[in-house]
Amino acid sequence: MTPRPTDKLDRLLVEELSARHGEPDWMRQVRLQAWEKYQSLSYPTWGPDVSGLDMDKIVPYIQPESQMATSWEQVPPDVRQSFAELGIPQAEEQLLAGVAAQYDSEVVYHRTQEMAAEQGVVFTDLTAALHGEYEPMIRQYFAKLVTPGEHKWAALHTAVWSGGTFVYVPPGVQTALPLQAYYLLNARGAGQFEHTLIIVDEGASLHFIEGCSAPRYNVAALHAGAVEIFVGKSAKIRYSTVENWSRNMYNLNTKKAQAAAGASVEWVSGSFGSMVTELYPATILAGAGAKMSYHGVTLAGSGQNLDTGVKVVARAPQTACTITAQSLADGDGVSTFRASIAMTPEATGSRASIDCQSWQLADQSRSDSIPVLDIRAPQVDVGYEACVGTLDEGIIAYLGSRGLEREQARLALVNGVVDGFAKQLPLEYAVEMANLVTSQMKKANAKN
Amino acid sequence: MPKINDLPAKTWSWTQTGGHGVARLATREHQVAAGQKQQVVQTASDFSLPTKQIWTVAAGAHLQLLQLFVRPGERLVETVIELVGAGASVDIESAYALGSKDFLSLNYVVRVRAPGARAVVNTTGHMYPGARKIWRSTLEFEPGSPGAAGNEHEQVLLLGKPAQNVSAPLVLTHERRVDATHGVQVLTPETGETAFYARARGWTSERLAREVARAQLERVARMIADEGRRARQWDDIQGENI
Repeated sequence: MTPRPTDKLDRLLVEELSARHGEPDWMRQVRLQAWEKYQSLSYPTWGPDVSGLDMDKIVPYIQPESQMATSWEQVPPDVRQSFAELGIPQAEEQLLAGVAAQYDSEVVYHRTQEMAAEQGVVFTDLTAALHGEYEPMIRQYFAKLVTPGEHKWAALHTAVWSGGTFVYVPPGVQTALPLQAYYLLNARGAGQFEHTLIIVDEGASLHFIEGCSAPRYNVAALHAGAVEIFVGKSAKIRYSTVENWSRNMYNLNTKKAQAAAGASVEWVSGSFGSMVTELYPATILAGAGAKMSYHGVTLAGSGQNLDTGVKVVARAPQTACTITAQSLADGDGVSTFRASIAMTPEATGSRASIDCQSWQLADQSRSDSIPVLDIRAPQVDVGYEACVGTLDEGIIAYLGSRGLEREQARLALVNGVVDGFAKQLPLEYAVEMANLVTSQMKKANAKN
Repeated sequence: MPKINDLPAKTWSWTQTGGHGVARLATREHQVAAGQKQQVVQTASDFSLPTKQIWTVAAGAHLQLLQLFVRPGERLVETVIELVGAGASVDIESAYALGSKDFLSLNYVVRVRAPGARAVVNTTGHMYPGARKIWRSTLEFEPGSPGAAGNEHEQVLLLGKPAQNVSAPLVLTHERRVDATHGVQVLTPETGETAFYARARGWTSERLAREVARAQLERVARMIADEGRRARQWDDIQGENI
């Protein structure tokens, strides 16, 4: 096939992507059906304004210059340098069971540590997995949770996805160390549409860490990835994200997990970057006794509109969900927390506890809290509480009397807010997050 | 099966013309003058048509709005409160008892536009099997309302599987120096510490359910200032087959 510029989002591109990756025909059909759905759907209107996103100017696919590598020495120097500055190779060596690094549209580096591989853990890029023994499994699960009909961005993603990871944890395997995928969008005005498919089989457990960043340009970029997680009976997953996209990014990601009987899903989600974010990790508690927890922190600085939250559908008895969200808005930033909790009539004996705290740190900032509870099951116990306020001036004054400048005092209080979230991350990521918070607060203080 | 993607818009007015499929919407406007205190008692009979009522509360004024919906049939009520003067306040206390023939849609919107304003929206109610209810409450703090505070809360007691039970408390803050809290509690006679305590005292779940349900309605009736009206409402509640 004669290569052609892949900067036009059209049906031909969808066909070319499938052909380029040598995909089975069923995947090609899935892409094309998703493309038709994308054409038919309207943009959601209830969230942040995305009118600044001109899809005609987004480059949907960028061909990498090299093949995927299994050692950092094989990665092109400039790409390797980008990831080194982020600390990825060091983290891999010290505290991870495997790393997948995606640069623009494709995974450029991937390696699973010997220990995890010996346990039978499969951790590979999704395209490679389509050509191996796990192709039938991927066919069974791909786009079954995040379906093209979900919304326009999900349809676009399913049509033009590239890169991403496939993870399978066999029954009973407890992974000692986390796996990590890191997404770097380096190209100007590009879109990244990675697909993460994770299957944690019965009785197994996994901690998966997702990181992302991009250099800042003065044109819009788009991240419309998808994460699908299937958690088997009595299995467990913790999915941690520290998101630090650049301020020109539209982060319209879709994440969804399904938990079987006795399974547990934990979301740990920090949103600090991007210009606009719409991110609502969703969990379907499909089996009796399934549990989910969500701990999220969002810090919207000047020029940011971060609309985050969580969705839960409990459709089996004796399920439980615990949600803790902290939302901060500084400068003229907008921080919105949304929650959608639904319990069907089958969710007898289920429990839900939702706690949201929002702080407005500046006069121009805005903080909104928008939950919806749809409870139709008997014998349930559901409690939602939220509060909105600002940093306590009394405490700031007290810290001032102890020698802290006002900005230092504010930063100390904000770090106190996010401390509970940071404790759930490995130390290196907690440090990265603390640096992000400090950087955000300094930018906001400079503008104020 | 509720749709997993049903996320509500930030808009505060949803009983638009034609909303809920109705053909007509009655609109009423009222004012509470500066410094005045006013108590208004409303029941289902006050809303035979889907209704939007707008209350404007001036500086230093206080509005207490008591609403009781006992087996109301189908009632769609949107209550908009505009707190336009410094120190204006509103206290909305409502209660409902819904059976299988009832559909209650309540939309409270409090727009806080002045400094030092106060808003409370407190709703309690119980739902029998097949009942339908949508409760939405919005506290919107606009710029220029420093020192304002608000609280919105709903407690729902489920006495069976409801056909529809939606609660949506929204807080929208454009002003930094405010304090707002909101919450929703959904419980059943079998859950919670109260149930444990009651059982320890020999109560059955059925008796606990009756007592809690009746108490939810009595809470609002007890606040009625006019003795005659209070007595009538009290009798109505006692006469209900709760």
